Amino acid sequence: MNNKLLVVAYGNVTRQDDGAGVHVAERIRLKSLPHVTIWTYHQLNLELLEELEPFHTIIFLDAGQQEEDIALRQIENKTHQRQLVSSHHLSPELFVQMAQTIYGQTLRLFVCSIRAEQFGLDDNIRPEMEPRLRQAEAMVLNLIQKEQHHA
Amino acid sequence: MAEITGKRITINPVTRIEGHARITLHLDDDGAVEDARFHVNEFRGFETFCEGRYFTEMPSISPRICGICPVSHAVASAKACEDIMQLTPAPTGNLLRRIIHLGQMVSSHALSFFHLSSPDILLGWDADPATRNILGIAEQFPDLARRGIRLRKFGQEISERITGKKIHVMGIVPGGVGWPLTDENRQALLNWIPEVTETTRMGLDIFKKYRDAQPEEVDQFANFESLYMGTVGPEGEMELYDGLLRVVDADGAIIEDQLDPRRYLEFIAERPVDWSYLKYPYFKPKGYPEGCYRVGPLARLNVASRMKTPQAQKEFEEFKAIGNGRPVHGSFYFHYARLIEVLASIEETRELLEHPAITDAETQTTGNRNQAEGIGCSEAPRGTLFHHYITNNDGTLEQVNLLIATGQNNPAMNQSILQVARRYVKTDDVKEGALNRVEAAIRCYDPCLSCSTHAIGSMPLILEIQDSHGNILRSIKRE
Repeated sequence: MNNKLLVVAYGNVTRQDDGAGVHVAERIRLKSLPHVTIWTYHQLNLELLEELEPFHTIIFLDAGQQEEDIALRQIENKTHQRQLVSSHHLSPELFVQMAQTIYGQTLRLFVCSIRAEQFGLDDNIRPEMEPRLRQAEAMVLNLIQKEQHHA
Repeated sequence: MAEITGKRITINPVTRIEGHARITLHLDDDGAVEDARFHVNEFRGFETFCEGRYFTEMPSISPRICGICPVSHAVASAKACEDIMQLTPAPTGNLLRRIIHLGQMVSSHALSFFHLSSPDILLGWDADPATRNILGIAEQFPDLARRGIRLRKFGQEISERITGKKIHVMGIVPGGVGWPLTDENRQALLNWIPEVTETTRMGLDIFKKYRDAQPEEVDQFANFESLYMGTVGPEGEMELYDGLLRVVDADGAIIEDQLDPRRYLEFIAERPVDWSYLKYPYFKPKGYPEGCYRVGPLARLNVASRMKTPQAQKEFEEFKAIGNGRPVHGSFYFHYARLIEVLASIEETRELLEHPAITDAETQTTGNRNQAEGIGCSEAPRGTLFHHYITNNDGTLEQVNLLIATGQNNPAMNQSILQVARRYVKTDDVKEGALNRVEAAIRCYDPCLSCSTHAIGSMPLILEIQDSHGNILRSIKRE
């Protein structure tokens, strides 16, 4: 049974809140969870599609601009995000569609988006973000547990 | 989204480029395109951010500027530090840096051609924008889309196998690189060469077939005369990593050669404009606007006398034949030049991986601050990149100046959209395909503008049409 799980965090840690997902991923990394692989990137890239075959579940951790402090959602291959508008912003929706179209892979992909507001040049995340980071960490750990249980 | 109100066309955001941008087309009283402007809305302030840091931190900080060309920033930064330290990098470390840099060139160019620009070529300028995109390519040409991804992956795997990271390379340091290359990793990279060569050849075939089918459109697209600047080796060979600068005029005559990039302030000046954060650089001896020049793949091939490797040399000769002895001025040929550079990078990577010293253990020299100022230069995927640091007595940075390629191409990008808009945009009936051509003129330069926040990176371009009074007639927004 494949219970391998991948956490991919992306964001720029020198741009304040933009690195929120990476900060949470680094905290999860410290827990050394079994069968959990953690990768961090500056941005989401298409070539990651080549690496996903071993994993049952993938969780993206990202900074977002939604209203909720934390938005956790599963990405389904139903939406119609077709544009790669720039390589600085590949959406999870397009990522899922590309996986299906090119590799015939149906990804089990979740995105945990942490609300971000300040993107100035600063390699310290703002203290105001701490509650959101804790909440995101707890939600992702919970999701990891559930996914490994169901695998 | 496109919006027309009055006599101005605005494209905002420009799709399939890096960062945030806006294009405005200004109409005259008769409704014809009178002027075109490419606005860059984001101010990075990265130079100020770096002030106060110890200078040797810069090779690890500066790759954070950009997720697309972090290696070029790391290399230019390491060279600037070496200038401050008066340090010569370890020979093997220098070779490894060169390979990592070539890998980034492959990776960046692969993204530009296969994923951002091939939809125009393979699916058509006037195709429905809902299908004229990377997913449209994946649906109709899945093998090509996958190969494009793998070509990019190759470039990143070079970085990963040498430095341990795919992007934001941490191993490039003043004096060389932090770790040696193992023989296992060397062999693993060599195993990629046949596949990535074949993929690049496919890209070249796609470009050439398109050019054969649409010669006038390709030749005339954003075709205008300018100066060109790029790095060359001692015999005028095209150089991507190290060398001296050459400037040629619109006829191809060499007006400056073997210029030391550390003298860049003597020959490059910048002119601010009120509609963009990007300034207008120009070649000082020619003044403004005659001194406006282009950098990047097209410029590098236009200034070079030859390539260093056989397959790239053959393509280079075909490229040079297009200009019939003069520079190739058509901006669409940036794509061709980009693919030739990919081929050259792959060939040179193979040669370097087969170098007898490439797995040597000594990869880094060390030293201390020996002078206050340092300048480093490297060819980035989009053109010549300069890092200039001034330190105080304890080595902290007092002043940082980064002259990036996209900034140097800014006047040319404006000229390109003006020419394309005049040719294709009929303001009484603005077709989506015409506006796509205006955006494509920008994509030729593959500009990188945001450098770089992920979360707000999702709003790249607006195109606006303005009348002679500045009223917005139509605005197109890509989301």
